[in-house]
Amino acid sequence: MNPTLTVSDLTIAFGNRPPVVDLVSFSVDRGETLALVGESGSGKTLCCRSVLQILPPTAKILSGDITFKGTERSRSDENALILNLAEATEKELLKVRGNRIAMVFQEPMRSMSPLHTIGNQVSEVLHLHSECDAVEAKSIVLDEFDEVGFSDPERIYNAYPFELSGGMLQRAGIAMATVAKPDLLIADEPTTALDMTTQALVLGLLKKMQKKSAMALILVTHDLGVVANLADKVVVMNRGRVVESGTATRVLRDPVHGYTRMLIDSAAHMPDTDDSSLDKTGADSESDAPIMELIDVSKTFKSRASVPWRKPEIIKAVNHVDISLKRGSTLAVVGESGSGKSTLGRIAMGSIAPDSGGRVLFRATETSKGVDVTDMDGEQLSAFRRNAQMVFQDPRSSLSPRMQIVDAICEPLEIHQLGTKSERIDKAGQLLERVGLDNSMMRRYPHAFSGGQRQRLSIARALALEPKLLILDEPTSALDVSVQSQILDLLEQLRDDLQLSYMFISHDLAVVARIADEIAVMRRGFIVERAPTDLLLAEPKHPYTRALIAAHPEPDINKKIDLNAVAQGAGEPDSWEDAFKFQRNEIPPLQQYAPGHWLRARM
Amino acid sequence: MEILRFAFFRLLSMLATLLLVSALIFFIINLPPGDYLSNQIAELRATGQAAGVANAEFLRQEYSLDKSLPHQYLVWMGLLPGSHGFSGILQGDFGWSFEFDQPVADVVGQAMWMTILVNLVALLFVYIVALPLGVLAAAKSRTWVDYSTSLVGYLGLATPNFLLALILFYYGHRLFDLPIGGLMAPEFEGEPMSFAKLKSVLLHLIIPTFVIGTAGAAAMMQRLRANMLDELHKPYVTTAEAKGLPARARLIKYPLRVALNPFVADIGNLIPSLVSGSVLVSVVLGLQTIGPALLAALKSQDQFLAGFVLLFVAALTLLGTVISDVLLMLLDPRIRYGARAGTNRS
Repeated sequence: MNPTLTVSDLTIAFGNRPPVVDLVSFSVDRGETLALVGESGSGKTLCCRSVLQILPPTAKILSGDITFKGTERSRSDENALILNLAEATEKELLKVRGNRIAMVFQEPMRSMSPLHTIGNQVSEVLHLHSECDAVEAKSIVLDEFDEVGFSDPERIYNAYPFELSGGMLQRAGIAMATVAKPDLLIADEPTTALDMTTQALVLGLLKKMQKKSAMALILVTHDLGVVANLADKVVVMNRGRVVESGTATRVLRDPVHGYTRMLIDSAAHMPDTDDSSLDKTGADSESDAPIMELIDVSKTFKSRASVPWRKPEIIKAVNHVDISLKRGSTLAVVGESGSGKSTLGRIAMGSIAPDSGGRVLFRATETSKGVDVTDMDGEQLSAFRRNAQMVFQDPRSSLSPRMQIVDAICEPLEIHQLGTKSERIDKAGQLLERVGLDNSMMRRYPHAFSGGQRQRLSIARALALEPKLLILDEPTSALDVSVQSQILDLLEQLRDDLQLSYMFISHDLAVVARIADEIAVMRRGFIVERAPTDLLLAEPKHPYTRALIAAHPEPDINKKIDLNAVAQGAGEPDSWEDAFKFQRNEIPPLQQYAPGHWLRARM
Repeated sequence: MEILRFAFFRLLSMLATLLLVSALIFFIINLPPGDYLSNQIAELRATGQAAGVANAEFLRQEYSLDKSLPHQYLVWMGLLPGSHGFSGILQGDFGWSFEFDQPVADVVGQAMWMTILVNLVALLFVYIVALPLGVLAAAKSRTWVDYSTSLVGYLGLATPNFLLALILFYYGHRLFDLPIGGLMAPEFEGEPMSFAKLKSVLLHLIIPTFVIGTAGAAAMMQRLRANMLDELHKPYVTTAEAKGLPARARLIKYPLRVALNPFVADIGNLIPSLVSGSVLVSVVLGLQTIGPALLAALKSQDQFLAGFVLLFVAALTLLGTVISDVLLMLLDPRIRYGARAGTNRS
């Protein structure tokens, strides 16, 4: 018996360049889940695209077989379909794509046409591959929508992609892939673009769909936590080659290859809370004047309506936030997309003004008087800009591609007219070494650097003015796992060496767990829980915080995601337990639950 | 219903814009010193024709040209009473053409419809040519199909219109016996519309359409090609491929549908360039559109005629943008259902 899919000695190259996928082999059978794991550039996505023969035009399969064995579907095809996809004709492929082998993509928003309804795009699969008429097709699609967890399938059927959230769209994407009952489903980083809690729920859904129909599943991912939760077999790839493969249990428990071990070690772990070595540092050192205080900060955005007679939509991005950042410490703001965390960071930087009544106080030194960031004269503003700097998420777009590294780093110094030209260049050299780069790289352009190196450059630039406060907006989210952990090391070291204070904005509780002293969890513009890191992780009280902690996929086969805990807290704020529930006119107050531990609840 | 409300609102805002444009036009026409009558009076004085001078002075008062400029404007628009009470654009009195010594309405009456006809046909030509060629060039990008359509397109862009006109007339007449000049055979001029007249008009339209539309079609084709190329590699196209949609159906259903938006939005940009392009072409080809009248009026400072023609062209342009806005709303659910998004999320 052949397995559903067997890939053997697959080699793919772009043009005449050296192969980017080199002699890769794997197989997956009915009911089995195979994870293709690797960092960016490992060739994992090309491998899975080659199965459907939807490679970029310049990529060519140089050698190898991709043998697919489909199940018998009816009496008429007595012989099971066996096809070498690497040599199949376009006509044969059209019958396989979407029908026998389906695919779920990474970015749900961009993977659906913005101008066609969800129903149209999903039922298209049935129109292409089955003989059912429009009415039958619609009812099959509605059933499938019900299966993937939509409470109102009819409404989703008629909705356009821009009307749904990313998580719902990915559910629709899964429905689109499974509606024709394929033998093999390929999911290419299906949850990477989603929030933590949504990721957990979508992974749960994938597992459920697979169990139901016993299809084979290939999961392409960079996240070993995802692997631990879903996969039976693992293939670890690095630079186009398979470095290790085996059962998920074996690979995660006793990795043989150094690369696999490195991946497991650098994956973000939720710290163990069982060994409660809690030093409740929450209440002490209150006497020090904090470096930054946000007092009753709110921000309302008004979106212009597309047609003039409609009321403009009013979005309350941030609601009455009070936080203070202690000197030399790290405050993390954690939340999903749309929680208002980035808006809060921008308010703290003074780049957007809060609604009136909100104040942002900055104290350059312990003894200096607080300056209100929202109300500064030119001189104060210039001083503030030297003291507070920002590091952004995407190092590719936050460095000008037309500026040499030395110019990018010296620019802040030039703006503030510090030092002579040669002093500035010396300084740039020191900064590069400080962030772990060689100062001989000064004359290069950003494109010559990898993602992690570019993030180091962004940090060097932010440090040029010797600031006291850094606002880090998802500084590691765009990076590979191994690089992510190096950048976190660097940030920790810089904070301790230079006595910096950080405001660290992230969607990932596990990432901030290792660097933050205090964590504020945000949802819908409100802080729902705030406590020192150890306390928050050991004794999370709010259902949303619990969901965030539960949703984190651990690279440990014995610690699977507790979907119940996720589902309880990840839903709408009006679905939370009574004590935490947001009601139409009444939102519970943020109260001190224990020393240093604030909770938005009715107590 | 939403769409009707939207169209109504856009028409209202178009009228407001038109009012603003009318003021601009009037003041710009009057920027050069003097006017048609003062020029004439000076000339008559120089040749000592006193009777003519009196007549011209009478006309000056008749059309309030002795008043201040804002006053003149309001009289022209029909917002202030002139010598015959309220009688201006708003009341349907387009004023007097000094150059032709006739009411403006009589000078441009038929030409107005011919202008609309010529430009409408040119617009259709632009779209009918640009759509298939643009799609083809994008679908077969970097092949000989792409290169040859681009070559034809650039030739169309680069050839001066009047040169193209002369060449087409010469060969059109020699090879296909197409008529030269004018918009209809002379015997139909002033005749009521009939089948024979229509046929004559259509035959006469062939070459002007080519001449006016070629440059626009070439530019439009290049834009559509670029838009299509942007869309072709978007993830949603890959999704369609992974679903098993054959190449041609895929191209038409997804990227073309998305690339069509800017294509439609271009109507608003295209009309002014067609209209202003057709003014000169009409002079060269001897078409009885509004173009030659405009040129004559501007040369002799015949202000009411020039003002009306410019206002008419502005109205056509604005109407084009209204049409493209309404079409866009019909085409793009993101505009239509923008507000529904808020309620549907979560």
